[in-house]
Amino acid sequence: MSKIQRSGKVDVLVIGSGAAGSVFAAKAAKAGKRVLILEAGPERDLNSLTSSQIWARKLKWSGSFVEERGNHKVGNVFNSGYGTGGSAIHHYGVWPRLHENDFNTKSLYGVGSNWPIDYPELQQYYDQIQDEVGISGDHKQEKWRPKGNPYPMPPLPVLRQGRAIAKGFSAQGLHTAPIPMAVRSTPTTDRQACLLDGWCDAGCPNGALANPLVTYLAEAKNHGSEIIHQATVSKILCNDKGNKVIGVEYIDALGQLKVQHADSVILAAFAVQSPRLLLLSSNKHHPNGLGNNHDLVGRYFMTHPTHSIWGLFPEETMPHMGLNGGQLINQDNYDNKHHKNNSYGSYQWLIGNAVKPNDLLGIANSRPDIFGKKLKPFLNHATKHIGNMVGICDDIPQAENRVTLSSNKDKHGLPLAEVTHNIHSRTETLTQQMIQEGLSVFKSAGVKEPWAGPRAGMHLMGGTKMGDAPENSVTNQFGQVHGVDNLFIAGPGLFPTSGAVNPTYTVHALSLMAVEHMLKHWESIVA
Amino acid sequence: MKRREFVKKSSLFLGFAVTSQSLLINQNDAYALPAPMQVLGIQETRIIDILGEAIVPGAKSSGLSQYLDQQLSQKRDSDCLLMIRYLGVPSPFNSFYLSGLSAVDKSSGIKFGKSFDQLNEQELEEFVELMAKDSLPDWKGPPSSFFYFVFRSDAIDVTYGTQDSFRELGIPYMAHIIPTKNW
Repeated sequence: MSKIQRSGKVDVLVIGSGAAGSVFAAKAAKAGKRVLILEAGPERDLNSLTSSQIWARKLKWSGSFVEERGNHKVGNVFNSGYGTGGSAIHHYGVWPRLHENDFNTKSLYGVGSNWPIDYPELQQYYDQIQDEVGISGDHKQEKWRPKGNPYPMPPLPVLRQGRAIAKGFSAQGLHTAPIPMAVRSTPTTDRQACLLDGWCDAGCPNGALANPLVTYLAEAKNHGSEIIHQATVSKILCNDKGNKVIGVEYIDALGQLKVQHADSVILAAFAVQSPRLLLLSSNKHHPNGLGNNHDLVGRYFMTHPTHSIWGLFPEETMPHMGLNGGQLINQDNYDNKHHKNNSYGSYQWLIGNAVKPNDLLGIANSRPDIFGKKLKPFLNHATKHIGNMVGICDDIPQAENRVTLSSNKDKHGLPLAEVTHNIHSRTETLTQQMIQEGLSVFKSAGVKEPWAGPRAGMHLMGGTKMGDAPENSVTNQFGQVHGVDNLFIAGPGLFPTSGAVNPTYTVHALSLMAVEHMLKHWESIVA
Repeated sequence: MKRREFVKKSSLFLGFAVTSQSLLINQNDAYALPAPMQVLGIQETRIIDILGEAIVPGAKSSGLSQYLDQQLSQKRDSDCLLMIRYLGVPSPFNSFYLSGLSAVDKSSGIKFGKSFDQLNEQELEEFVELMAKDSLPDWKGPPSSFFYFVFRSDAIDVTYGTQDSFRELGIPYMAHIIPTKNW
């Protein structure tokens, strides 16, 4: 295939328009850099976010197929987005912070590896993002919350479902607090307050939920960033010495191979496609893939093991209302990852998630055994009385859980990504302990026969872990690939450990820290 | 004939072009005609209708077979709305559905000694139960419990995932942006 040279070198080329890429693009463009974003998926705007669990599927990944192996598959399509805003366009806006112990699990527990930064270093970036995006919550109620500024907005209201389940936590001596949500409880001139109608998964067109279309991608465009859609990057290009990237090759919407030169490249294509692209970008200096001289690219891939607890409450719960991410949070079992024998890790409960009748996480699929004449009576009752909550566990990072290149190829002739993920036995024990607690809470709340859903993988992390040396990591704390200073990786792929909280807030904070570093040291980085 | 009477009477008839011939039929006859399918054959459509009703009553009239046919006809993966997208099955999904439907028919013959569309209500219920538990004899297709789960989810989508069905369940739809089409 002949290559078409795209005219004009840019300062910053961002691969992926999701949470991480949009923060980089916004801040770099604001600083006067010429920024180009290449997005593999189609263009979307707020008007394309139709309130339907069926139509919501258009937002999910439909790029090259990802082969999945192992006893705990990661659910790439469900967890990944495709198009403007990436996965963050359908994310649920649950924004708790990682805890201090999440950054030092090797030192504290002998598990995984330490992050190259501590919580105090990241705190200022959490606070800045919080101020810029807006988070609704009640910091005083979150007794487990690490240090940080109070939330700029009051919490979203707790509705019937949340109140019904909270009774069970209270009866067990457990604590609940409003979930910190990147969802507006008060309006601004360009973003409405949340209407609590439970369509977050389909995307929030009124701007209440902080998806990139109304936050950093909007800011990036306002400062002159350009975005090209349906542009699939196939290779990151290096200079002759192999110590700098000079741009990328990408395949455009017409199938033409193009070359775009840049002074710096930000690889923000999410946890599966970023390592895939590094592995696809081998050259004479990096024969095993860019940044892979120590065979670490793709390794330590993680997903949060989760289970849902369900139950039919005596009272009406209005489960269709609220937010898909839930109403209340419990992190009582977060800060001691060794709190029970034979298990390891933190977990949290997200309580009172809004659910609709259909879809993978819908009410009907909570009881797939019900069919025929029993189905409609069940749904008639459950759509008014069901309650649910989701337990999210730490995932122990393991080198064997990894992204590799498959022998099968996509429509462009590029090897597919293959993701292998097996759950650690200590994590599996933790999930069982968590389930027992959840069922007990529901019984205390008045549910006669609660049930637990199957284990699922929520969120994708790792694969391009950060660290303090090339021997133990792919990048430094800013996401700069060791030995290739002007190539930054951004996103949850950097996480050395998963923690047990939703990752998007941390992705924003890390990206902000990294882009500020890049801009501050621009001359030496691109020299 | 006055105009109003003409309109009233003519509305009972619809013109259809079938194999290059025009004929006039009434609405009931029109409904009974097989809808033009792109991917699914007559027998497959029949199995979908029967199995759909057995698992999710109302699925046939909600358009399950039309939904599946339309989605399986999409040329681009990104246009497909089927939930199977989430479940780690590579596209195109036609082979998954067609082999599953074929397995339903064959397994019915082995279990009950008759084709699937000949099963009575009790046999259908037993069949679905066995299907959901991977207990059908000589099932050759995607794992039957997985096929059951996917197929049931599709039937739930068309029967309980639309504005009309929300209304029927007595819960408000509360759309930000109302879908102009169910799918």
